[in-house]
Amino acid sequence: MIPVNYITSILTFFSIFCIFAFGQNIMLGYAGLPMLGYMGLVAVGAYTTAILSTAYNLPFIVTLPLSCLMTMLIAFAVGWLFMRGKLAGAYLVVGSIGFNFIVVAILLFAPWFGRMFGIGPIPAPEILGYRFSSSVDFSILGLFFVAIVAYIDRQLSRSALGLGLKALREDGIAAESSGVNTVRLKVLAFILGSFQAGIGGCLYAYYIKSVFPTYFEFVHSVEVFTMVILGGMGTTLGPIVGALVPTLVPEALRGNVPMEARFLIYSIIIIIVVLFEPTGILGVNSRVRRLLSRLARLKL
Amino acid sequence: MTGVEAWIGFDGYNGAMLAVEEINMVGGINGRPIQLINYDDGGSPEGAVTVSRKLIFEDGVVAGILNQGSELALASGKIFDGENIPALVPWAGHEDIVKGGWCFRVGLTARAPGKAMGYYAYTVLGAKKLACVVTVDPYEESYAEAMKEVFTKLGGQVVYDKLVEFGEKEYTAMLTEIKASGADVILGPHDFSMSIPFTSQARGLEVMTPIMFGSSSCVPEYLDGVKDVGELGGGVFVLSYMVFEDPLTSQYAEKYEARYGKAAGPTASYTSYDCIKMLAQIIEQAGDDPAKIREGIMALKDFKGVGGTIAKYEQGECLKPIPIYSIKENKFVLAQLVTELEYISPF
Amino acid sequence: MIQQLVNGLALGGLYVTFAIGMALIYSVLRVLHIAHGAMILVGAYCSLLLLPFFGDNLVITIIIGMLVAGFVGTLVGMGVYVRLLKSKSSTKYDTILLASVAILIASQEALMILFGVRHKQYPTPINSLTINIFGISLFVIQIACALVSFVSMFVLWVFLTKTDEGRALRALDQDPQLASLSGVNPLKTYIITLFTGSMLGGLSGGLLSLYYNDVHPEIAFVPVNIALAVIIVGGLGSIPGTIIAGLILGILETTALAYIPLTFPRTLVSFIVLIVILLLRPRGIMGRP
Repeated sequence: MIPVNYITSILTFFSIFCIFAFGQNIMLGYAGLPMLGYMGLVAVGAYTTAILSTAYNLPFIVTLPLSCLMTMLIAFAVGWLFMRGKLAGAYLVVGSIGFNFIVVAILLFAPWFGRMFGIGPIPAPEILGYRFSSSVDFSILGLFFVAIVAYIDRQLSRSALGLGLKALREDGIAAESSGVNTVRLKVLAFILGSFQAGIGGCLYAYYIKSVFPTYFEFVHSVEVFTMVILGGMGTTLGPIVGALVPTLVPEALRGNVPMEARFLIYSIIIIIVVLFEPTGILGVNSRVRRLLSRLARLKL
Repeated sequence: MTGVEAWIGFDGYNGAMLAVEEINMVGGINGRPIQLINYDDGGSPEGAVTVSRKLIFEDGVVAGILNQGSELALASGKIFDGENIPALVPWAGHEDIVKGGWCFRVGLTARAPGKAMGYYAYTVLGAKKLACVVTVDPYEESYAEAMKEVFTKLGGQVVYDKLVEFGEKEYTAMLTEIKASGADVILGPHDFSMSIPFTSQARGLEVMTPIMFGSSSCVPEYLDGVKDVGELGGGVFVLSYMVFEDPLTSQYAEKYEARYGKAAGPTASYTSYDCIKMLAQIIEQAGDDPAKIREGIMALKDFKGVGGTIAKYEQGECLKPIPIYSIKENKFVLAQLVTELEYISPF
Repeated sequence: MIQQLVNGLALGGLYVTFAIGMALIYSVLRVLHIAHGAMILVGAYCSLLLLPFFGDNLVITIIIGMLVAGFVGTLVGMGVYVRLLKSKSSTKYDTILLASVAILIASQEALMILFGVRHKQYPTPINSLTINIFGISLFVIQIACALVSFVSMFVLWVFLTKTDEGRALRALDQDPQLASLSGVNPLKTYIITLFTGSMLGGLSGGLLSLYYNDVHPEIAFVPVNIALAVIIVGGLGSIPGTIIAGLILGILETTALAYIPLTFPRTLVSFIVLIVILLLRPRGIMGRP
């Protein structure tokens, strides 16, 4: 008996994590902006979807783009405010933590968003009459969007805009002195890295069928951050590999290990990987990547 | 084999198993052993639904015991209602769970304790002004609401009302304001990691009014945490679901500890034990037809459980006297058992 | 009301105690030491769990907690941070940040496994002891925190200005390249910084857990967040700034909680102040541009 439900459920979460990782990768991997509050943006997307689908009964084809729009708007606002102030490094980190915290606090304490009860149940999304309700449905939907996001990422990474963003990461000063408007570029990085939060947040809300403020707390932003760094910053395959880690590791440990040990082992894995491969498993110069390219050359 | 049950969290499961073992040891019900089938709902409503369906359709249970968390119990409860199988709710507190007609609560909603506390504060403690600081938690907010309602209906006034996030331990600002507001009774947050600093800070700031807490503070850790401070000033009054001194309850605690090697834990284990015992009693008399079991539950009167005595059932909610404890010589001492129907009814 | 002001200052004093360690480590290593939370936890757990071995003497256990935290912090810092700092990658600070967070999470989980998930209390709680002057109450532990802050500020000042190692620290802080050229040994300086900062973290953990009478793996999470806000508002790299910022945030939080009729989490105030400062004056109150 193949546990179809189990596998497709994992696959769905994996694809949602992938999408988040792609978004964070643009901010962190390409532009080098250490933003540690990604789930704050995801919350915007997820709650937009939740509110629009429950209170206004809007269909999936409407909620998805609107969630992306809201997320990008907020990202633009936050990005502009932060970049205008030339925030970088530690300041940006703490500022984004603050952003995440404020978003969750608003969701928990303000009366408009369901507070601790969250919002739900969220109806199943429908495309052209087909209702996506089972894990199989969602995993297909999820993978479809991963493909789209990955494709966009590939195109971006090869474009002039993409190269410009990467230049920001390597040497912001050089970029600045060669006439590039770094502020505008950084804000753009924020916006470009946020529509994935909209897509991912939307799918997340539909799949879990409810949204609660605790899903978007700072600790989960750390998970997204982890995915990008472990997988390999600034690469297209990196986020995919990175998303494998929080998906596979808890499952692999589930059987034999009690729950507390799971997080411990998970964090230790992070520390070890980071010590040996600071740019990530598929990072620019990592051993795995070198091995793969050597293999590729041998085959030919 | 009479099949029963569902999933309730470790302490609840242990409690229920204890009951099952006791019953089966003396030959079961009407000569047949009782079987407890337990599944893990994985903490999600979908899991709860999947598991409920499994129990009803695949395992053919005659009655269920629902999960601890309210959202989960809501989901499972609907399945049991829909399939006409009775279910008992040992702990979850959301009002809607028992509205379907086939689910019956063995624990309490948050409202009944809240009302009892409001009554106690006004009538017994003689307080006229209530200050309220509780966590942003559906359960706590619910009983705080109930307490405020009763308190104001009886003639009191709420002079301070704030919510804090879970885990908050810094109360000096609020307590100073409460002192200035002239409140003569305070309702504090009930989790003991919060109520301990709340009490210490209050007494340290010379706020000497009586303080009341919900049942999560009725634990030894609270006593340890407030050692010398618990009896200062107006004293501390803590709600409980069970009367510990009741021989049934204390015997259960001993049995549990002997069997499992640890303390009987929170109310859920007591009430889960009671669920099994109740069902056993009813099945013994009415047989194992689910519809008859349901009638039996509705007709129950004065069931003496280890988690408190159930006076009767009304619209799915049980009516139980509610004990309130105070502290003397570092121990919990029963201050009052609220039995007035008006103040123990969740409606 | 004066009592509220006192409350605020006292709270600020508490905030300063856990922020100083982090500020010190940042000023020399340029690392956001989120793992400082682990030092707070080490200090708290040592203070409580070693009591039976030392005749319930709090002073001894707190001091031991400090020393243990100092050692652990130095080991972690040297083993992880310094190693990663050597990398030439442009993204090394992000990686270090991740490692720091992972260390904190790992220590929380490890403590949970080792010592259980129930909150623990001190056998003889002293957190309600207050002294009362002219109708104003002040908790004894708050006084202890204030003392700690002042003493450590004084000691740090003496250390940084009067001793060779201290001057080396400042040199490294100002201009790393020049400092190493003139013979300053960065490793030795790092060790001293890590040890001192972590020691202060351990001490703050002991005091924090005493004040709230709560020992549990998650008690460091909120203090770490607050410390982050404090060091930024005060100005990264400035110790006096940290102290001023801590006090101000304490007063602001207390005042907001007391006088604003809405319901909100206390730390929201600090984060809002943080964001405002980041937007208006990113270098903080006393930071260098």
